[in-house]
Formats: sequence, structure tokens, C-alpha cells
Amino acid sequence: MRADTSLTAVAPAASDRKPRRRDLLRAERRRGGNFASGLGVAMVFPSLAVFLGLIAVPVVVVALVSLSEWAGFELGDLSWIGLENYRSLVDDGVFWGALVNTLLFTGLTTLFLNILGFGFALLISTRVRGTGLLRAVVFLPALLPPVLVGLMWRRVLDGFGFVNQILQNLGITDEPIFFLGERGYVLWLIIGVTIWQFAGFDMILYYAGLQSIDRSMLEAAALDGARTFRTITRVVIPSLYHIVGVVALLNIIGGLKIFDVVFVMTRGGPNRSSEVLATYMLEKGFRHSIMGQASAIAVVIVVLAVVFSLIRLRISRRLV
Amino acid sequence: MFDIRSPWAKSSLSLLAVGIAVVVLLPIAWIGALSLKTGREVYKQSFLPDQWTPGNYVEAWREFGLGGYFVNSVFVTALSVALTVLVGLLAAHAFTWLKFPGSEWVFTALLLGIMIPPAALVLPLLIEARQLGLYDELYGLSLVYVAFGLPISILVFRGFFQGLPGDLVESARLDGAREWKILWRVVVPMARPAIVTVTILLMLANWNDFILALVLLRDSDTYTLPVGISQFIGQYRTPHELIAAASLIGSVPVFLLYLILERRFQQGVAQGALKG
Repeated sequence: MRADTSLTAVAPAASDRKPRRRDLLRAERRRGGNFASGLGVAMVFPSLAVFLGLIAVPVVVVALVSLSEWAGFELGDLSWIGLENYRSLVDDGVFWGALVNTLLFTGLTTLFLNILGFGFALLISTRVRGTGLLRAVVFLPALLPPVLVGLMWRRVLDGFGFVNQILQNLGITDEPIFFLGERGYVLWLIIGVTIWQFAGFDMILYYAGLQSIDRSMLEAAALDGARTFRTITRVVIPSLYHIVGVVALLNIIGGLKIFDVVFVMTRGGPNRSSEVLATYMLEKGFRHSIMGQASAIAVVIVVLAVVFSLIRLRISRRLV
Repeated sequence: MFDIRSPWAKSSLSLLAVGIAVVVLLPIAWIGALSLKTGREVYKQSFLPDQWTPGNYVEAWREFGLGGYFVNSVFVTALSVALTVLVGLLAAHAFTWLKFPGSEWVFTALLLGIMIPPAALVLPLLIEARQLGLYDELYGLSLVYVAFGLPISILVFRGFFQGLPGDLVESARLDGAREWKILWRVVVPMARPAIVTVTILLMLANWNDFILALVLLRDSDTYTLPVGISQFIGQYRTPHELIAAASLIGSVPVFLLYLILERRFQQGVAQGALKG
């Protein structure tokens, strides 16, 4: 790698010969030379080292381990088995269930977060009384640790929780419903909690987008006598197309790595009805020490994330 | 932005806004009330406690050893954010003012890091951390946070630097100022908004992180708040009011910062998300 070699060539000079350093630097600069660029390499080096060591190398390692059979302890016990782990994932019903749940979670949270986020952003941009409160309150959950949000909602949803209290007071049920023990409910509840937590996040992004709309277009629409609804559909939404793309992809990428809330609310249960890729990966890796299969699941997560990130990059390039 | 004139429309929109705010806040308020109830009251139907018991917070703090987790969280967050900002500023400075052959390539490579979800790398990170002696160490976890925080930080910093007047850097150089002095005295003071944005983003991400801390820390002495608190939920005998109190204690620092810096927080998160 070019960056590394030029660094070793230049860095010692920069530190060893202090007295002459400045003169050298000036001389080099006058010639437009590369002493300064050696300094540039040195300034980038810490970032590059951390990135290579703790992101790039792990990506390579996870890809390699996914081609092996390994319990994760002694490197000597590792044996190469090619694509066998991926083949067994294809035959693994639990993996498909986790994949479907992850995609369902991702799709539905993205859809509702965008609808609500956009709606709330429109509402706060009217600046009528009460919208300041809305803005502050709705954004708050987005800042909280998802683990603690999951913990709180676990309580709110349990047999003696707030939701059951409301249902019983309204006379809808007599017996408490143990929501998190019901196969048919759990995934939807996790989706609901995530929407509750992050609607304000999308709201802020859309609000930032709304601020960037050309005022004169809105004024022109108003002068033409367009009603608010028409202004929204004809002027506001078309000028936000790119923002919609960026926000939706952010939600998708965030959704694919869903873990914290599931882990504390259901651990993927009951009976795997809320299993997602990340929880299944950890189960394979830590509970069963099947590192190869766990790594294959990790590779699936990485590939999905990278694909959507690349799409996002294309859109935001056009945005900026 | 929309000029709402009719008083009827105005008041119904206000009502809607306040209504949504209340619905969003209710679950947290209920948890807040729960955290102040006595153990006997927990299963009763009433929203507010009959007997207010703020002592639950003291008990949760002591019972679960939250003090230790709190210190660990503060340490990891502070160390990782400070390091990321420092190292990120250095790199962004070079990428903007001290380009070298191939620097654009390195920049692009670093940005690829944004795409990689940390959750997917916990297994290889664990393997590596064990090899390097970073396992079960707070500074090791911080270093991992630095790695995942750097790409977005460098992107935001460089984007901001490019909008700064380059003449100032040039003239400082002609005056013979050293490069780090230029960064520190000329660039950093101008880049304060970007630094605030990045600091907020990183603080949130690292304070809230769960999966990396869960995997890379083993001993309860090193647990951060999210991991420490999550360990109690498996124990069904843990009193509900104490879990509620503990969850709120873990949320307080973020909440306080948000109260102080509300708009900056919102701007910071929006800028970071839309540009990253």
C-alpha cells in the first residue's frame, strides 16, 4: 500500500531532525514538493491504522471464518469447508425465519417512520401553538439507549403493565394479555416500539429538508391561491424526493442491524417468532460455538447493509 | 412555513400536536410513576403512586452497583469521543489541506467503514480483541468505538473544512506556522460547529451502544450502563420498580444534555445523518 511506504520513508525525518525541519519544509513548499504531503500521510495514519485494524481486518476475518468449521477457541482446530456453512443456512428454517423477520421489521419500520416523520415535520413547520412541545417530546426517545427503551416497554407491555391497565379499564379485556409471550404479537410490538422510538428522528430530518425548500416557490403557490394540501402535494413533496430516499435508506440500514430491543424484550422468542439475523448470529456464535455459521450470518448482514448503503450513496451524491 | 390563518384550523392543529406529544410521553411517564412506587403497589391499577418512594433510586443505584457502570460508561464515552475527534481532525486536515498522492483513495476507503454495521463484526472483533489483549478492557472497547466513529467524523469534518477560506491556512503557512499549529489555532476555532455536531453524534452512539459492549466485556467490573442494567432483566425476582428506576437513571445523562442543547442536538443529528 502506497500510503504506508511513503510514511516510513518520511516520518523519521520529521521527528529526528527538528532544527532543520522548518527550513526543509519551507524549501519543499517553495518547490511545491512532497515533504508536506509526507506530513499529510502521518496525519492520516492513525485513522487508517484504526480503520484497517478494527474494521477492514474483521471484515476479512468474518468472511474467512464463514468458510470454515470452527468452535472459536484454538486456531489449530479450524478446518476449511468452503461454502458448506452457506449451504446449511439455505436449509435452515430458523435462518429464513430470522431473515424474513428482519426484512419485515426493516420494511415496516421504514414505511411508518417516514410517514409519521414527514407528517410530524409538516405539523411542526406550521409553528402553531403546541408544536414546540411536540418537537421536543417526539425527538426525545430517539436519544435514549435502545436497550433501556426495550426494558421500559417490556414492563409497559407485561401482564400488569400500562397497556393491560388501559385495556382492562376500557373493558376490552378482563384477563391480562401477556403480549410478549404471544407468537402472533411480538414482532409487531417490536416494530411498534421502534417506530415510537425513532419517529422523532425522521421528523427532524424531514424538518431540516422542509427548511431547505425554496421559499419563493411556496409564496408563488400561495399567490396562485393554492390550498395548503395542493401546495404540499405539488411543491413540497416533489422537492423532497431526494431527502425521502436518504431518510428511507438510513432507516433501512438501521433496521437491518436490529438487535438491542429484540434482545432485551424477547430474546428472539417465544419459539423464535421474533428471531432476527443479529440475535440468531449471536446464538450460533456464543451459545452453540458454531463460529462458521455465525460468521456466514454476519456476512449476510454486511452484504445487505453494503448494498443499501451503496444505493444511498448514489442518492446523497445527487443531494449534496 | 405554512401560513395557517383560520383560527379553527390553528386550534385543531395545536390540539393534534399536544395530543401526539402526550401519547408519546405517556409510557415514559408511567415508568416514571412506577419507579416511585413501593414494591406492594407495583401491581395495582393506579397510575400515580399512593406512597411516593424516591428512595427506589438510591436503592437501585446501590443494589445494582450502578455507580460502577456509570463511571465505566462515562470513561468509555469520554475517551472514545475525545480520541475520535482528535484523530478525525488530523485526518480531515490532511485530506483537505495536505493532500498526498492517493489521499482521495484512502479517504474513500475510510468512508466504506460507514457501511459496515458494528453488530455484524462482533465475532471477529472478539477474536481479535482476545489476541491483542483488548478483551474485557474499557480502553479496548473505546478503541473499537473510535474505529466505528471515525468514518462519519472525517466525512463531516472534511465537508466542513472544504467550506472554510483556504487563504487563512495558506497565509499561516507562509508565516512559517507549523502544521499542527495551523490546525489548532486556525482551523479548529473555525470548525467549532462541526466539532459540536460530531461530538453529539459520537456521544449518543457510544453511550447507547449495547452489542459491542455486551460482546467485548466479560467481567461485571467493566460493564457499561446498558450492559449492566440489561443483566438484571433475566432475574425475575428483580423488583419492577427498581428496574424502572435503573432504566431512568441510565437515560438521565442523555436527557439532561438534550434539555440544555435541544436545538443543537436536533441540528447535529440531522446534519450527521443527512451528510453521512
